[in-house]
Amino acid sequence: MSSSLLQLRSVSKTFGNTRALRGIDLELGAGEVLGLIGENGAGKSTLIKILSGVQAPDRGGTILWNGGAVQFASPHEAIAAGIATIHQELAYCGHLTVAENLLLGERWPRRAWGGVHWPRLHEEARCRLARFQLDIPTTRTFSGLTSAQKQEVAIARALNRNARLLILDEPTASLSEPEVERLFAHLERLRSEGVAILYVSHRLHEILKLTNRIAVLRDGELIATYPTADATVNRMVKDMVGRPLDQVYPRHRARTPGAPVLELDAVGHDGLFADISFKLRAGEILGLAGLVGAGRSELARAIYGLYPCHHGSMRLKGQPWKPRSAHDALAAGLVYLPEERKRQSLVLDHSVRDAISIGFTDRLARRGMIREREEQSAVADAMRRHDVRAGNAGQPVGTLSGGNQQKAILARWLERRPDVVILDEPTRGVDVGAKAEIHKLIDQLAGSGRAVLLISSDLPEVLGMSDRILVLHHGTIAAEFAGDARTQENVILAASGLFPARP
Amino acid sequence: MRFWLLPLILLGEIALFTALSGQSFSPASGATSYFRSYFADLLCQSAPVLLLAFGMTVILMTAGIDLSAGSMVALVACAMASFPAGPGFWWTAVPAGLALALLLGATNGALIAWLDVPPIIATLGTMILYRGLCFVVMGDLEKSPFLNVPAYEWLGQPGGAALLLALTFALGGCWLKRSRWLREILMLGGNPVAARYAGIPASRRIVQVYTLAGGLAFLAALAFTARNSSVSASSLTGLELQVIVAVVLGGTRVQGGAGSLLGSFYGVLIIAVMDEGLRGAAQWGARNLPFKLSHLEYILLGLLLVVGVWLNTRGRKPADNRPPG
Amino acid sequence: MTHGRFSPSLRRRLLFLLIGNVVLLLAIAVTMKQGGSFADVLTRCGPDVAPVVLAGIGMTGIICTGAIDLSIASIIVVAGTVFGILARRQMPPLLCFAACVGTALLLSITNGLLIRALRLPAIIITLAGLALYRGVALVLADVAIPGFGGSIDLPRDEYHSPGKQFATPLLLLALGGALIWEWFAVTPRRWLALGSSEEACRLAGLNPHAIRRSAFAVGGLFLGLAALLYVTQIQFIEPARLALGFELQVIGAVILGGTNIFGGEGGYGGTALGALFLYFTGQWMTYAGISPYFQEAITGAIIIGVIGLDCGLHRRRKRMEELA
Repeated sequence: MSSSLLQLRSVSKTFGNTRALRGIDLELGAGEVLGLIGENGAGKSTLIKILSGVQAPDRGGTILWNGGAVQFASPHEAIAAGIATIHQELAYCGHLTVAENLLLGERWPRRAWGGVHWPRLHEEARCRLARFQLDIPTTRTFSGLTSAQKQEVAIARALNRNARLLILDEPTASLSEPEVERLFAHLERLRSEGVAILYVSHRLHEILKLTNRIAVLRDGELIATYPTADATVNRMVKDMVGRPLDQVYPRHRARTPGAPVLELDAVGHDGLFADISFKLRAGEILGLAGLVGAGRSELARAIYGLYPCHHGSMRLKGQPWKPRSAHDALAAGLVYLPEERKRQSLVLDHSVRDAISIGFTDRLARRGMIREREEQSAVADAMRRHDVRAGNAGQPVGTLSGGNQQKAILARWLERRPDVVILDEPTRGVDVGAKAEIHKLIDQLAGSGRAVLLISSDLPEVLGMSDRILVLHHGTIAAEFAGDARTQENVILAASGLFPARP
Repeated sequence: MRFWLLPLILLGEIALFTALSGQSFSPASGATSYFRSYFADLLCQSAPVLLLAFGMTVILMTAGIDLSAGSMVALVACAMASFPAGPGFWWTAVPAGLALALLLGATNGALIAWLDVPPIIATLGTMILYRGLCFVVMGDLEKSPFLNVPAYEWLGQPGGAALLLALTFALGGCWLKRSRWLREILMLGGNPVAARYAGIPASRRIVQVYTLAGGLAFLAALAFTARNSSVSASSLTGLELQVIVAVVLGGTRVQGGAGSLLGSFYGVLIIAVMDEGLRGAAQWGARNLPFKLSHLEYILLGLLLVVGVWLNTRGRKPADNRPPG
Repeated sequence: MTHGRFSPSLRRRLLFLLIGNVVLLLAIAVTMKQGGSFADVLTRCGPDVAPVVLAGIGMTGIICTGAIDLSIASIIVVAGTVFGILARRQMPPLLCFAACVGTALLLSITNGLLIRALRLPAIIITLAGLALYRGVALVLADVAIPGFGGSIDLPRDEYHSPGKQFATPLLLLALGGALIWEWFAVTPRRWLALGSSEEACRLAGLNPHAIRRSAFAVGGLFLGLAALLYVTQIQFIEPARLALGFELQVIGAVILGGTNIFGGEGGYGGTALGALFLYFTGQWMTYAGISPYFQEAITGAIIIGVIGLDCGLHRRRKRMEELA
């Protein structure tokens, strides 16, 4: 194909002994949207880093851009060539203004004598935001924006650089449905303007909806590319995993939940959530759905004792529950698995053993000293039970794949045998195989009589796993669904505040 | 951490400086007694720094730093020096010194944990404050009641110094290495947010760490005053940097989350041997070099620090070079 | 139009320092005894604060990038020693001054380069520099001055002109230039960007190492001026004892001025106000007859008090933001 904008010819990348990419051949034409899928560790991020100039490929392969061979030595060169990338984790300068962040790395308008022309800088920034119908004051400090606003500014920033190829790595991970719709509308427009798009996502329905063609990576190799018209979810999953995987959510637990374990009565925290009441029963999985920013994680943190409750009251196992710290919660048999693994759960260069045993050192210690032999066997047990795959327990936890990191954190908390488990996005950024294993663990957890509160933005997951679903909208409960009312449409409507009054 | 690196540097130093000092061991038995007194001296000389290095290592593990260590020791010593000498010193000045030291340490901890002041700023402030209080207590005087306290001098002799060090390093170190407390400290230093999600009582631990450092500063004050017998308001200025250099040289990271007590031990000794050795080799230097050999100490210290830390970090790959998780 | 350049917390700190300095000046005027001259306080202020303010301006840029320079006192020592050696050899004064500034500039640039070359944190490199540069100064003096006895004396007056005659104009010129440059140049904003997020800078196509190097280079220039004013005010240059603890005094002024010790936030104006605040506090204590033995303790208490209060007030909000 002579019209192709980007061509990769046997591009490889090796880290020490691991070959992250092996001989990738790929092409992408102007105005085309290519979906790149694969499990975690399949090499997607590495490929993106090579294309965006963050890392250099091994010798031997060639990248043809616009027909000429290129070697990007830095992100700067890739940007200059017209390749814009929105990385999975947003990087921004929190103390600078929106305008400065938007134009960071570009030439700022100058006055005749060389000084920065501040009014024109802000004017320029306003124009760029206006193209995306964003109305954010450009003099605001960036760290003061909501996470959705940050994501939108990041997209506006990347799209404005006269890009001819736009790479998006999991751009919707922290966006809610209407924001995703808006993003897709922007992408659609760019495509019609002739911009090529490389779209990476775990969300297969987005891939099906948005792309023209799909490329599947597995273990660093390009397994297949085919037009989206020929793709089905089953085929994609089979190519990613290498085996067909049943998409059925496991359910082996009893149908009748037990007594209420956690009861909330009109709980509120000014500015975050208000008037939250529900009962969580033993052996039950209660789904907590809602848009990002609806107050789900904040509510969880309040139950876990990290945020204060200004209003209302809680009861845990029949007793009044007024935790002052997470320490209280753990002692009372309540655990919380936070949403961001790397930032909120792990010290990446500590060993897998330390990462797991920190959850139950109180049981391993005598007179303040940890009994090492018991620790070893306890950790080995926990790793086996929760299927944490690591070379050995001494290796840094940061070297594990996302799925195994997540299972290690689950092991850390579930080994405490808690009565109430709050899971916040337990499968975010986790590959398909590990996801199924985590779902199985959650089902077993409820089956053994624990009460589970499941927070998730993955609609099929929340629908498939939960017995009941609470939907939060702007910090209040918009609706509760059980039985056949648990449909995708109902949850989306309620999350957007469009569902009629609470039943 | 290359475990052989620090002992090797230490041995190399001892060999080099023994050679340069022009010591001759004509009867072979002379060597044993020479080295016995050499090490005894080394231990007494570096006891205060070693004790402070213990506390500083734990503080660095929490991603903190203590710039007030030197001022703290000086203030405790000054406070004790204002008590009258005599046997009564043991049950008035010494307990008062301990209480003061714990209070000073806890103040650092409280500023950092409860008021959320970054450690480098909090302890910079208390460094100036504590040093200022030394002048308030002492004025321009130099006091030495320690000479007239029975058995006090023994603390500065090899036996006493060895006892202090054995108590802290052998017993304290053994307990600490396997303790749950240290695990929590390391997680707190490695990722404070994750530590709070993991239910670690962060504020309490931080206050404990700095109070512990206060207690060790008290021991250091004992060791220092027992050996030097007099103290003034400007004693021990700059000691904190010496301690920090030793601990960092020993392989403890300033970013927190990891560290080694044994490494700090070696770090202090390496600096002490160099200090002592340059003094011993002064004659050789005067004959062969165009500058005072003792002036070389600063340069060697700087080089040692950079080279030591560099060798320790070289094995680790920078984070962005890792294969994606 | 502020273009959102000051965060609310920084604005609050600047306001506090501004009011604080005025209040202190009033207090000095009130407590001044018969025969004391208020004009005298103001004229003496320039030479006295100039080294701290200028070194502080340099340090501000470095701290804004998220780095720190603990070696500035030792760099001043080397610059001072070079200056002293040349002056003793009766070199023309202007050459001596240029050598003093140039030495500081060179060493500061070296710091920046070493951080990159060895890939070690700035605090480690400059902690090593703190020891190493002082040693270099001593060895240099040993080698260059026969029979060096520990101090270099500078008898002739023309070698003292920057510190003794032109300190205030030089300070005002440098400070004014720095403030204007900071307001209109891109580079200081890049320092703040780097201090906020190195990753964001890299992904935006900026070179973080070049930005950090520029902070050390500009820092070196101001440090050179500070060194010049510092050493030309004194009669003897003692490399072993000169400027001991100066780096902490400077860092104290910088953070009192509202610069975030972890980078990303701060500015020159705050640093100048912070240095003045500490200086006027000391002056007021002297005029108020407070024993000099208490002064250091009070200075320490002020640093702790102001910053402790500021941090403590935002503690709860910061804690919650950190968790989210």
